[in-house]
Amino acid sequence: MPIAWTLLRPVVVEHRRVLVAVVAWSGLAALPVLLSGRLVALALDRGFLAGRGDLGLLALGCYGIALVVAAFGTRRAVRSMGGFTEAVRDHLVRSVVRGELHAAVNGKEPPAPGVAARIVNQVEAARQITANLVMSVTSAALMVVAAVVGLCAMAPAVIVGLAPLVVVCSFVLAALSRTWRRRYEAALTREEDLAADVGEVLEGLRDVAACAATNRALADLDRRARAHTTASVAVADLGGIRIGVIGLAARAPLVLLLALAPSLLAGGALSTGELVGAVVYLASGLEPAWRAVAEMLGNQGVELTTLLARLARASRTTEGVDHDGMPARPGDLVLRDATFRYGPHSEPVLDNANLVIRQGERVAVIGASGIGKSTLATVLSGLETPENGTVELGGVALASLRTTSLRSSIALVPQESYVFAGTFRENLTYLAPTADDAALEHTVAEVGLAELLHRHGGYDALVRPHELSLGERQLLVIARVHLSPAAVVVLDEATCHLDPVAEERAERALHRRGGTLVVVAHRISSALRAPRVLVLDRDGLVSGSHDRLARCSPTYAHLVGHWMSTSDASRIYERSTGRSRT
Amino acid sequence: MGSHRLLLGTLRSAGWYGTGLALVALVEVSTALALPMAVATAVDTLTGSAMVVVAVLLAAATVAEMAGVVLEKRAEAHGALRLRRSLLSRVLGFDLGTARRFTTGDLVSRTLQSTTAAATVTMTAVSLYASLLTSVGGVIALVLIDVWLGVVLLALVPAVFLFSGWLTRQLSANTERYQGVFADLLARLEDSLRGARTIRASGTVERETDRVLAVLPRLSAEGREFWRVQEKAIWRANLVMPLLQVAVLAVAGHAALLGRITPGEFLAVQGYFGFATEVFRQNVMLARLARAQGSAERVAEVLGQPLPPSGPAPLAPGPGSLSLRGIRVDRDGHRVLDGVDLDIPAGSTVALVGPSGSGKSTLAEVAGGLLHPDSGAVSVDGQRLDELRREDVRGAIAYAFERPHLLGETVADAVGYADQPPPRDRLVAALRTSRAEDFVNRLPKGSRTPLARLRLSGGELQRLGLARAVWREARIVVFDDATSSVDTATEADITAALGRALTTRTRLVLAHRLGTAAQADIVAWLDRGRLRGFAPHHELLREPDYRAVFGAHTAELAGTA
Repeated sequence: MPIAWTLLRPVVVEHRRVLVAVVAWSGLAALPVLLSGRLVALALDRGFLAGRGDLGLLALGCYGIALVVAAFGTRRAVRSMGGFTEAVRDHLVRSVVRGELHAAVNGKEPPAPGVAARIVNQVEAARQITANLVMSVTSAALMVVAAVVGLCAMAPAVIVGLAPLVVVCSFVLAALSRTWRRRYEAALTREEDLAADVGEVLEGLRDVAACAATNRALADLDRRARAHTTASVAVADLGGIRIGVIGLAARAPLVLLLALAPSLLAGGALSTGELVGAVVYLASGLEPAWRAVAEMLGNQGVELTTLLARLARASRTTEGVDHDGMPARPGDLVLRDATFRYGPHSEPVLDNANLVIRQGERVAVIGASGIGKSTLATVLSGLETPENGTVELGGVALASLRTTSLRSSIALVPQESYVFAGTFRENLTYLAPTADDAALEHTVAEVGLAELLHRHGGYDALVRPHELSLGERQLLVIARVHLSPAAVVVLDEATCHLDPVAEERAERALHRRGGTLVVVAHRISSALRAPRVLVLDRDGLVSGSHDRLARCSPTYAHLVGHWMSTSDASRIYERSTGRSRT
Repeated sequence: MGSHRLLLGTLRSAGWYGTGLALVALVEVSTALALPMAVATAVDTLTGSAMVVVAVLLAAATVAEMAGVVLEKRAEAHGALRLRRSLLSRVLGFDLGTARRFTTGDLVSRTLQSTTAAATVTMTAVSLYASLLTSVGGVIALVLIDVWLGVVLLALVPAVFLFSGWLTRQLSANTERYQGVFADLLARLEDSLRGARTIRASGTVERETDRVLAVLPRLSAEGREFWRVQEKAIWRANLVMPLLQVAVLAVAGHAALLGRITPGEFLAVQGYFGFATEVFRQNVMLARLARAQGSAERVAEVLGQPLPPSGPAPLAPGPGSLSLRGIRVDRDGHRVLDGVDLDIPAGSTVALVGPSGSGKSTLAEVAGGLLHPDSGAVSVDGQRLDELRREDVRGAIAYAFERPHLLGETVADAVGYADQPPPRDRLVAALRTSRAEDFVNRLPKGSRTPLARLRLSGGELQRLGLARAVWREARIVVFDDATSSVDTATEADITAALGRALTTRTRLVLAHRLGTAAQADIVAWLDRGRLRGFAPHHELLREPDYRAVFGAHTAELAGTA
């Protein structure tokens, strides 16, 4: 409850007046219940049973007027409640989206898109339950009060007799709710497990078939599906018991009233009309309203708190990721005695590594796959901090730079290009929001993006990310970085989907732009264009010109040698077509 | 399979849950209908026996209610499970052509949401029948108490009916718009989540949040509109029903005045009125039935997809020759493969070469039975694939892909992912052959590292994918660009190790590198969906078009070399 409440509190506090209005208008809606038994009793005793049809009709007419007034009250209550519910939904969407994005961006785990989407969908469920609870529980609770008040005036003995029953039922229901909630949460978790596994297997249908693993996959999924079914049934069973308790508490009063009726009637404490009126209070007032309150608070209330607790966890943003510090100044990018590893038990990717990349220099990084080139790129960009040693830009450790300044000074471009559904202009000026058209034109011409832009209808046309090829997306991202004010650009295989000609053009454009350029090379041909090459292998970092490396780095000789020796023609092939994918 | 048949099937398969639910509903309806009259008798006579009747009826109603809730959820859960099972086993039997008609997200939502919604049909159907019975019973009871009550009620029914229709139309239009905006918000969020690494590097997480949330005002507007419609609806409903109620009570009062009915019966009128109008409160149930119907259609569509043909014949042992005859494949209205004939001798290595879009990957899929051709036949050691047992075909042909999708719990589990997983030593040997052993050993828990927490480079992933294909004793192995992300040096290592490990196997290799073609026994040269040449590499090199496949410069160079 506390965590769920924390999430909702700001909205509730802000909208407390609206909530008061909901309660007030719902109070009006309970008016007919308050009057129903009394008016029915009057209509019978004074009217229809006393031979005065006009008085009977008058009493019924009053009841009709009360119903119209109630309808008006409900109408106003819905209006207020709608406003509140939408405010809750807005707040939840905002918190969850922010939380999900922060988790994906700053978290160590790779993001799972399906899970995020489901959490956002839970917001919608929370919205509907909130609406129900605020509106129906309030009015139902007021109806319970109205019926009890009406009944008290007519047959107080019934109320006195009921008190112990209500107390016992409340305790039982509270105890049941706790277990129900546990089971409900377990069922939600089982559902998430099932969803995750089904997604994995269906994403890999080709691989399941190719691995001759259909039965294995089906058996895995079946286990998950059965676990989910078992968990749902466990929730249902408890729900049944609870309904029984609620029903018992709702129906017992009628039996009690009928049992007491003979003595009440004989003693003159109750007239025939009043007996009928009391039954009306119980049967059409108390019973449905009490059921609504108990079921909603029990089911939906627990459901809502469970949902809110989940949403609250998803909304948590990692605090303190961005910090203040010195503004970044352009200068050399220096790695000083840096050691980095992913976990305490894994081998270090960098072990006491030292490296100086001069301001404005162009460097290529090569190494066997999986050796840690991407990690090096990440460390050089200040996204991961080495456990020992420092990375410095312009003589200042990256860790002591202001985060915003660091991020805008060093641009890391990963292999998977981020292109979003917005205009081309929005995508291009992502890192340089103030860039003017002249700057845009220059970048587009330099990078070689004009044809793509023309084909899609210019700067203000909408980008549909899925309709662009991987190469086109990479080109768009290269243009984005070209336009950015970053002093250091780190390309982590960011041109792997471009053909060699386009790749060369993009790299040259980035070089002419000025600033430092670090290229984690996907192809040897790209490495050969850089005046200085950095070789990463098990023994650490070695850097130098091609000639020097050919003499003193076995890894370099191995990587380049293999590439050269396949055949003369294949070398040209690498340079001209690359490994572009069919 | 139609959605109606599917729903009927679900109803039937609900078995004793369904029967039980129907019985329970019957008990609920009859106790409900009996109660007002029993209470009326108790009020009028005040006898002990009448009160006992009321108490018994109330107890029976409570028990039926409990049983109803339990059975309803059980029927739903088991119905969904049954639909999920048949849906998943159908989908896992698809060939790739059929699978590509759906996106993964779509299939996941059909497996999870559509089955659940379709399975509510049992409960919804029972509940609708019960409410109909209740209403009819209520009207009959009113007529029995006093004929005029029934007349008044029936006269006012059309108004209620028209109103329900208006409400449903308004709300469904609004709901559709609301869900549209919601989907837009989700799409934006998913975009951003995919770009998490860039966003982190750019320090733009706050701006991304704003970008995703930019649609929120539109969502709010639609949400408010929903409440406005609700407000109107509630206002109208709250006017119509009470007026009807007051009118019925007035008629009952008049009858009481004339002594036609007792006070107890006056009370019963109130109760029966509620029952009589029960059928008009079924908006929710009708909407649910519509949803179940729509969902059942989504499930039935998947179950109605054809499975690739297979037969009962077992695959006889053989050396692994592969023969393709007249293979034609169409996709999205254009011809991907157009009458390809190809004979691959057992034990040979054949390189599949061709420019982008020539149909290489499709041919590789057809050759191993992953994709059923629109016409033509594939045979392994003289036996046609579509006459063989599916599991025999799958066992005889292994694949290594450019982007393998790893499944299973741990690294070892993912590499040995199969109906019949390999013994440990064969797995280790395969990891060694594919040069994956070193980096796997460096993982926190070695080959027992959970897949979920693994971050692999493209090259590492490909090497695990290779290992997954290597341990199997498949007579034919297809390599679909399976080492493209591995650096050239490691690739050469792997090629050599594979050569030693798979000496007698038939290999079909797709590659862009000239070296790969040069090392193969024969090259199958594909061009625009047709087989253009089938000869050793050095012979094909005489053709300028063949040289052009490897790049324009090569063409000039090879001519002078």
